[in-house]
Amino acid sequence: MKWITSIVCKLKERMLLLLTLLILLLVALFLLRRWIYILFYAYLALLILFGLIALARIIVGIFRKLCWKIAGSPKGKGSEGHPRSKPVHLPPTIYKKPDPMIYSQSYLMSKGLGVTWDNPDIQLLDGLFPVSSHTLLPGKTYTIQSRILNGSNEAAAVNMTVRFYYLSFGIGTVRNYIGETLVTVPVNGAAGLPAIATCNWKTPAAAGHYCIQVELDWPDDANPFNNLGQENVDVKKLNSPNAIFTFTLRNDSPFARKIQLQADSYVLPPKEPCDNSDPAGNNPEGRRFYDRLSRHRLQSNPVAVGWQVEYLEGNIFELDPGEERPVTIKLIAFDGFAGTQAVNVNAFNDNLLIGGVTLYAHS
Amino acid sequence: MAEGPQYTSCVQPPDFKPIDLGIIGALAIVSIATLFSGVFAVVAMAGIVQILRYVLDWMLNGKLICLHRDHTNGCNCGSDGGTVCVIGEIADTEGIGEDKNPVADVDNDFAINLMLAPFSVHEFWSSYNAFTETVDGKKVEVSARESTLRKATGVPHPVSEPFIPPQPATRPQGDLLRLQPGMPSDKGKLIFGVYTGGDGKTIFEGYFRTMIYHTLSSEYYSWTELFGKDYLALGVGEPDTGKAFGDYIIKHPDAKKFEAPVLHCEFEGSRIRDMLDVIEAFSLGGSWCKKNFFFRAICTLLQSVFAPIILIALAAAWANADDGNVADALEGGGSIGSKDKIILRGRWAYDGGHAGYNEVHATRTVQKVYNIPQDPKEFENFRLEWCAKMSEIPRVEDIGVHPLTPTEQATHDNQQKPENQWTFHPDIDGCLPNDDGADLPVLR
Repeated sequence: MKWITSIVCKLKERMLLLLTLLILLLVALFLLRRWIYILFYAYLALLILFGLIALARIIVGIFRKLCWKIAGSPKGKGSEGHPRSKPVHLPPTIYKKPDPMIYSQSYLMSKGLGVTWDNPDIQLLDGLFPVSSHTLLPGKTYTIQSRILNGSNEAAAVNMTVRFYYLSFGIGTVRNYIGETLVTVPVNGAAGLPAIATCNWKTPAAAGHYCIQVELDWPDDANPFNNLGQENVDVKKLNSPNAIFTFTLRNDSPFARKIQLQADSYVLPPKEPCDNSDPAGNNPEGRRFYDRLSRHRLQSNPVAVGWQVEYLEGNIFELDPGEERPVTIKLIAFDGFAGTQAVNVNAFNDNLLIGGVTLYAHS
Repeated sequence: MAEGPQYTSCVQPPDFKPIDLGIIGALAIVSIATLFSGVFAVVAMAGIVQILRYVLDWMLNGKLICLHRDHTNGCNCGSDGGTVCVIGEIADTEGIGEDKNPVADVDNDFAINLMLAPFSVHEFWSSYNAFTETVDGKKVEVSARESTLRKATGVPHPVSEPFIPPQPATRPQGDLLRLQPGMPSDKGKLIFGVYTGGDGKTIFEGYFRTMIYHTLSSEYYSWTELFGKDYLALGVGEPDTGKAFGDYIIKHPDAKKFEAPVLHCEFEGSRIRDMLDVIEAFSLGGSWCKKNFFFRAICTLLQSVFAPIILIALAAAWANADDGNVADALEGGGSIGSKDKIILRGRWAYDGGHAGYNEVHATRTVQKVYNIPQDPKEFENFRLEWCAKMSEIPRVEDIGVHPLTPTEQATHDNQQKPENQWTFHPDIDGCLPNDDGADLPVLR
């Protein structure tokens, strides 16, 4: 076919040549007029031949279908003799997936957003009263309460498994299963959202500092990357004007890894009113083009002005698989600081977030 | 919410009429008689077009009988009870054209067959035996299929008796497989509006697919998973499935063959609608044709005049129709196959073209489900929870056709509010609703 298109393309601008060829064709037909009926019959014969082939093909198809119907089980009365059952792909108009989700640090960081390990979707309760995850008593039963949302406007999730784990305070530490529960997550906008999953947890007898992980398990999830949330917080009082935090850094990968610690002062800012389209007033188009994410970007939240973060063992570690090291962080406030300051220490391996902690220092 | 297509409409049970063989026969005789009569061959073409128009119109708007689920069932996924939510496991899939004769190939739907939850394949297999029972003092043979259907529906009396609520059913979704009141009985063939033959008995047998059950391991497979016949373009290369099954039995002596009752669920293709549209287009629309006899006659005349062109256009429409399983875009969506557990939503109907079972036609949405309880009571709560959640999801595309229910409307309104239009997390790109409660215009 290539040579045909090549000739066509060459002739497309050559009107004179085409006209000459057509005249020559007419002359040839005139000279061969006694034989032209043979050409016509040959053309008809070809048409009939192709027609017969097409007809035979149709008849074969019909016979094949009839034989299949005769040999196979009748419709609705079994499936012997029927074609193989194959998986079918359904379009998104028919096939629906929910997006159950929790505040997931790894997912948000992958989008270039700052994260806090003081997870807004995970709360510990002592009876009915909220307690901070850094002030837990050993051997006492608490309730872990998790808030679960749905990013889908089209699909709900009933009986979704929610699993709860605790870890010793640090990054990459071994997680221990607490329990699991089933929860119903309605579609976005429906009553019943956010869904609440709860699980009782008796803290280990040994006094210590623990993290909580909540994992959502819905195998056919529209976004499986926002299903793991972690609460990982420590609080210290400033002591003229330092606060020293210690935690464990562990390489939970089967490979040796170079892990780098980075600090920032991101905290979840209060939500803006929905009609606050452009607080700075810079954009006359209003909310349509206002970037609500700008306050949350990682680069917009460096360590707070006047504060210093010192890594006493350095901030780069090369760890073998399963190896763990203690890490000491010294937060130094500026003179006269009053209040509470959050510092997030995140651990990265080749720009991939592998964990973190949020440290609160207060006056 | 976008949904799968539904080109067909259904008729209420008293309005159902089978296809009239007299009309088709008369038109066929006229067509054949004039086919080789020179210029009058155009009459033959017109006859063929009218046969096609009649059959296509019946397939699209006449053959499906609307079913209405009992509201006390507690699971109404639509405002009219005709839309149902069904939970089950896919036994197998049926490709386009499977189980259809060459003429019925005009219907390019595809289907899945669902074993309704909660089910036990072991129970189906063990109940798959013919037996006799005494009805009104007479011994009656109960077929193996009816035996399993009784097990699946949880109603012990014959399946040919209509299910009249509130009959006790021990199976939560058993009503979907049962004969419903008002379904057609065997009145015989319809010829020029007159029924001939038929014994007047109810036609209802259920829909069955062949399964293989391993009695030792309790594993099971659909027949078409293991021994499906592959028909090639020229009809050669068919495997000998009988021999394949024999070999399988030698390898797996505990493998037993039986037929399981399933709910047949169809996804609609566009071919029937497209072809009917072509015919109606040559009568300048089609809707005005149905006003009265006179307009119908004018339409028929127009269609007859344009018959040769219509036939060519019909061939093109056949070739270009969207199949039931072909995605408008393969991006997104997902795949389903044997053993997937799903919930689907669609119109519950009795297919008057294949008398004898209920089905879902068309299936509008499908979603995979997990953690299905096996205990009937726990399953009932699970099912009601799913139905409640599905009934909250607004079917946006149906606005104007089927109004949203108050629950759907409430969800739809909430979804339009700015505070519910976040992408990453409400605490990140969400916002606080306005104090005065006034809704802002939707910007996304």
